[in-house]
Amino acid sequence: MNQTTPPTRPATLGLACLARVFWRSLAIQTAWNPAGMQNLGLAHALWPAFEALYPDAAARREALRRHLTPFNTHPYLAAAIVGGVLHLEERVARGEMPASRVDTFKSLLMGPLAALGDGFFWRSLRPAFGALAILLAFGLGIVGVLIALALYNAVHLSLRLRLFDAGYRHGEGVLDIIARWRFDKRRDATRRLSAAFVGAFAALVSLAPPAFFCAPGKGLPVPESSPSPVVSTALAWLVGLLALTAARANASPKAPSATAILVSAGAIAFYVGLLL
Amino acid sequence: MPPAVALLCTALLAGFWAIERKAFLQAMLSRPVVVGACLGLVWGTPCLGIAIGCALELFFLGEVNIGAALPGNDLWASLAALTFASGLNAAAPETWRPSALFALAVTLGVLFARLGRRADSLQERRCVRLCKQSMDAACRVPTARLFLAGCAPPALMSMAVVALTFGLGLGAGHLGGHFWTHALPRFSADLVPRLARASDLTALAMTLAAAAIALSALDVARARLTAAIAALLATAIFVATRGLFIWSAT
Repeated sequence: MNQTTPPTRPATLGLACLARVFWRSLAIQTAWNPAGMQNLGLAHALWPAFEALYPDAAARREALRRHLTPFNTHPYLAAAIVGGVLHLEERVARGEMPASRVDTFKSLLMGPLAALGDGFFWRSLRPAFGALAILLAFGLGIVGVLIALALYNAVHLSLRLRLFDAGYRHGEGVLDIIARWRFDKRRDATRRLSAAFVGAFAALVSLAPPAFFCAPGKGLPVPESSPSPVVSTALAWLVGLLALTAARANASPKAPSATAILVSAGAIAFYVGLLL
Repeated sequence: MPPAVALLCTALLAGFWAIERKAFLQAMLSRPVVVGACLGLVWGTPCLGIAIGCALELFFLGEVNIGAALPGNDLWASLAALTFASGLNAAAPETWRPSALFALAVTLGVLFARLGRRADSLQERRCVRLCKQSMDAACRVPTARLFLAGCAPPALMSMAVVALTFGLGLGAGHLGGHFWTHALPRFSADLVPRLARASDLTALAMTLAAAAIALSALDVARARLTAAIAALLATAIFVATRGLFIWSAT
């Protein structure tokens, strides 16, 4: 195996090397492909560490071969695996551990972390960011969008850094630490918060549509004979509720796609508007 | 900003966003609401940019990239919508009602999202060869080559989307603007205000439909009830402090 490192060399990684690996791990999904998934990104991220740990070219190549096997997890939580791999590779390079432990670690963690990350980040925190951003954009314009971005990335970047750090410090123990953060408990509350933001946005956009859609003095004049805003808002809500009913059936296989729902909602509203 | 400079800015931003969206960072910088707000500023239509960005953000709120299942390309949708609307505006300024621009742009955007998914899938399959080469030889892919294979194609494709939709917008804008101001009033005096009214209603209805799609994609118990309570609460607050939330200065 890879126990060819000369005993004179202390196989630990410096801070600069760790920083380089972390920086490169942000690009773990580069060249994502159906055959190896994130393997090219992972190998690219780990390369500076291999250069430091394995001065022998053959050992370095062997380490690279181990990490070119198919790999896929959530891009944020991948930081924990990358950190953990560094922890284990240091020990492998020192000859304290068989190299197969690294493979086992990766293949054991990537599935659960992918499920956790998809459920929490992609399906809960990201919608919450989006819903908050539209609400703030409605009130404050681009400043609101920047506030939402800052909030999201304060959580996202600090978590990625902490996951990397926890992985590097604890190696195989990182799963217990992640489990202690209770992502699963916060999931439903975050989603319900997004629903509340969406509801509030829908109400506000109906109450103040002129400011939102028609900058004063632009475009064709509003017709004198148009129905009262209450009537047209009520009609728009009717179309929206229709869309809600159609989207509810989205779970069944023969349900209309989101694109079809949106486009037909627009077409119905346009036709009704012409008839008024 | 002159249209040529704005177009160049949009193309450069599009390249950056295409890389940020999947390959690097994923800090939500390429979400529709951010893209909409930024391009709105670039093209001098901040109000329209945010309106389109919000509607598309709601539309894509629940779409996720899990494993090999690809979602619609939200970036292509936002780019297509914003540059198309800007093309229409640049061809015939002051002719197009913002709500009409909104409705046309969002419709084109969601169609481009489907094209974008195809392009994403093609790009992923293109990278298989690089992966196989690297695995067979057990050698690393140098950073420059990884960038060329993984980042350059999405960036160039999104730039092409910008160019294409701007051209489409310019063409449609010239044709439509001409028809709008010269042919239509002669055809029927009544039709112009009717069309204006219809596009206002369409814009609001499409935003609400997008909100409905977002709600059903959230996948949590009592999402609709929570949204309804929040909507009532927001209405109450709005009525109580009337005008506080109207963001455009009156």
